[in-house]
Amino acid sequence: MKRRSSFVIALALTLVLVTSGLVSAQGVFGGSVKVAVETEPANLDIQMTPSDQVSYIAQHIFEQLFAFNEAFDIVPMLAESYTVNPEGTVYEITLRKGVPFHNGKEMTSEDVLASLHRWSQVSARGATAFGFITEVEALDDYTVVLRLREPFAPLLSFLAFQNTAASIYPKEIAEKYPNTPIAEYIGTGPYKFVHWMPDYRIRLERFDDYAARDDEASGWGGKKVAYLDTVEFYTVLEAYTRQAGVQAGDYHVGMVINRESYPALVADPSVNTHMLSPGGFDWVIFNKKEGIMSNQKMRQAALAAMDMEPILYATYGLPEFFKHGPSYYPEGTVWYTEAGGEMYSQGNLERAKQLLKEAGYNNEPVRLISTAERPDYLNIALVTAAQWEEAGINVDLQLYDWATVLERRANPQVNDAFVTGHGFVPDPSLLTVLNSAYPGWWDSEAKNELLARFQSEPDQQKRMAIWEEIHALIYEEVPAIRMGDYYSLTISSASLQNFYGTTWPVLWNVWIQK
Amino acid sequence: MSRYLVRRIIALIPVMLVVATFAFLLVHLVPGDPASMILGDMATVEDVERLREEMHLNAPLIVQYITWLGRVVRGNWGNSLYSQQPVLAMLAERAQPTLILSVSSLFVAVLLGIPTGVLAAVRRGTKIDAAILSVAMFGAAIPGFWLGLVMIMYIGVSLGWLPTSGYQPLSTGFFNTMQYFVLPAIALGFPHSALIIRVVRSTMLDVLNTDFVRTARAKGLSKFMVIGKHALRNSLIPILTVIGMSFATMVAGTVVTETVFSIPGMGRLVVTSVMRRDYPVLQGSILIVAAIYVIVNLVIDLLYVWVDPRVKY
Repeated sequence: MKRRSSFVIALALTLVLVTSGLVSAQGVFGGSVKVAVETEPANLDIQMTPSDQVSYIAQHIFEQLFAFNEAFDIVPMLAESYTVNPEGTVYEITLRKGVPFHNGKEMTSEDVLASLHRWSQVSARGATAFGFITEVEALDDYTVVLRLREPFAPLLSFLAFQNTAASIYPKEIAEKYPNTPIAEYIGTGPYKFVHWMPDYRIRLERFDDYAARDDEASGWGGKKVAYLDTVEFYTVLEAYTRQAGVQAGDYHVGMVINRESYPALVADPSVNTHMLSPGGFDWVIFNKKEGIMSNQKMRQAALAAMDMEPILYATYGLPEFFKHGPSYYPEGTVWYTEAGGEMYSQGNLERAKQLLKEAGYNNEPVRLISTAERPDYLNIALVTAAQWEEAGINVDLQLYDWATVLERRANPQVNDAFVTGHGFVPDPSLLTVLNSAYPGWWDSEAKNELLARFQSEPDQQKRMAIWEEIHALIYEEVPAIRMGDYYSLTISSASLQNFYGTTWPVLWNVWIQK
Repeated sequence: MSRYLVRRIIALIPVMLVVATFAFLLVHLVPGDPASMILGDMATVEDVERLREEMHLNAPLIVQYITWLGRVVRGNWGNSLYSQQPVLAMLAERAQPTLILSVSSLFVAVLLGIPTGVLAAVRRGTKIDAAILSVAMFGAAIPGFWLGLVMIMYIGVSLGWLPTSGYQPLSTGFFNTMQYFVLPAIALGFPHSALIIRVVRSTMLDVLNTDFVRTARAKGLSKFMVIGKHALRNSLIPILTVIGMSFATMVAGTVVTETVFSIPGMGRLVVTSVMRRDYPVLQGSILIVAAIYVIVNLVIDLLYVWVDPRVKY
């Protein structure tokens, strides 16, 4: 009898909890979260320094006018609302009122003006956007107008993106550090910067006066609640140490964990595993300015020779960690397309040999540059070289430490191709290889013309059609060869609630279950 | 003695000057450049060139060398190219964890090395001797990082007795700090103890066969007095040399241990600075490590006098 009544009570309680959604929605305030990160950033100047480590730490301190939600749609963040004229050349942005910086000052249009000006000077993305923006004007304390020379469709993506972000700094700070990294980290975000013990720990603390939005939390947008008293980022260089630290309870989150550990981690009830999605991709980028690979036929031959599956297995190990497919964007995103995809992963040696012949190839060495410092880049280089050799390309594989790779790939006289990676970017115009100044120097007339149209087209449907053309052109002119998507492994301790694995994991709306 | 000391200290100047020059040249001759490391993977060639210009990396090498040397002599070691912090302050900050690690590793190495070495010598040719020598061979052969990872796995994760990694400064309490150093000290100290065991064993064997030890035994002194006071005391010079060199190697060789256990010391600073091509920090670290080497050498030479009154300078 007793047993039955307790069962009924338990059932009733479960029903109440489930129907009211309390199980997942009730956050607990307090506690400190320790995150083990793989490397230490040079600074936290999120406007200037294009590194993922800066983004995922500094995004808790700083905010932009706009943000991405879970589906990578753009939602207002520090902006209240905005309007665009039909031509797409005038953006009027209304700011939220009563948003304080960590120093107590209220954010107004003068801060936005100073921050956007600095962003145009220190960030490559800012410079691109300001190639279109001709004037930024404050109508009053809470209204900012951006005037454009011609429409620049990805503008809001540029303003929302976390990497070299158009974050809003107080005017005094934006002006104090016009072209050097800022040394005072004052933003409007839910956590404020407290202390940096170099090479060891960066400590953030809840910002009690944070002005949260009311709309539902999603992705990097909506309502942010800082449940945690402090958030600490520890630099732990060794991947196994990060993993062991989370398993032993010394850290709550471990970034970039060895994929070989995955089966053991899935079996461990004390940790949760997360595949960071959307994933990134690794690719081989050709030198199109000088040398043997500036011949398009040679690049087509290299592409024809490649079968991606062995490369993906050799590099990422388990099939959970990669996706075989031609699209530069994952399925489910607005930019997904397979245009030109028949050229992806052909593994066609006959065609490769034919193309080499047409290119007039005479067994000249092809210098492929990579590094053993990053195992993924090494494996890609090794298998790629083997496949090229099989097609009859004489590969001169050169392995250096990463710093040397960066130097050599920037010199068109000493490389024909190099291996590197690329993170997810919300708008295709942010892909590095589309920038003619990026190493590899893809400066073809067809690409430049398409890119210009793509950037100035305001209509999403027409933009998608142009992106399909660019996508197909990438497979035709072969400025680079993308292997496939991969997902990094991140782990969190089971006590950490509401934590999701995304490219830049967030620690607001996250709490510790005691 | 004091004249000797002054002479030795003056002789350090040319040594350090040569080290400084080599440090500068080696660091600058390696390809790769700090600007592109700061800007990262997404940067364009123009971005990197702009930053190089701002960081004055385009000046001729000889100009950069003279400017740097002039500053170092005046006590200004420059700022890190990566984090903008003053190099001397960075090195001072990293000194505490590295010194704690080196001293506690030395403690482990000596505590393990000397008694076992003595035991092996006294029990020469027995099974105990063979066992100790095998363990010593094993200790010298295993890499420190492997030992570190294995201990993290079993003692840190499975048993949960000690933190897997990290660091707390001494200001948070001696025992709180030391719990973070138990595993790293064993990982770094154990391989060094192997070397000490072998040196202690062989010098002790020499001394144990001398006449004065036989006399001491004949006098009826206790075994402990014979071994501890007569034999060990007289084997100390080579042992001291090996301990001193071990200590210097440890200070310079904390690189791997600090990386595995995530201790923010000088070793890790050197590794990250190499990867970042942070010239001023690297040059500063090399100078400091070289200075520690020569100073430890000097201290050992002076200790000889204390250990063996026959030594005179």
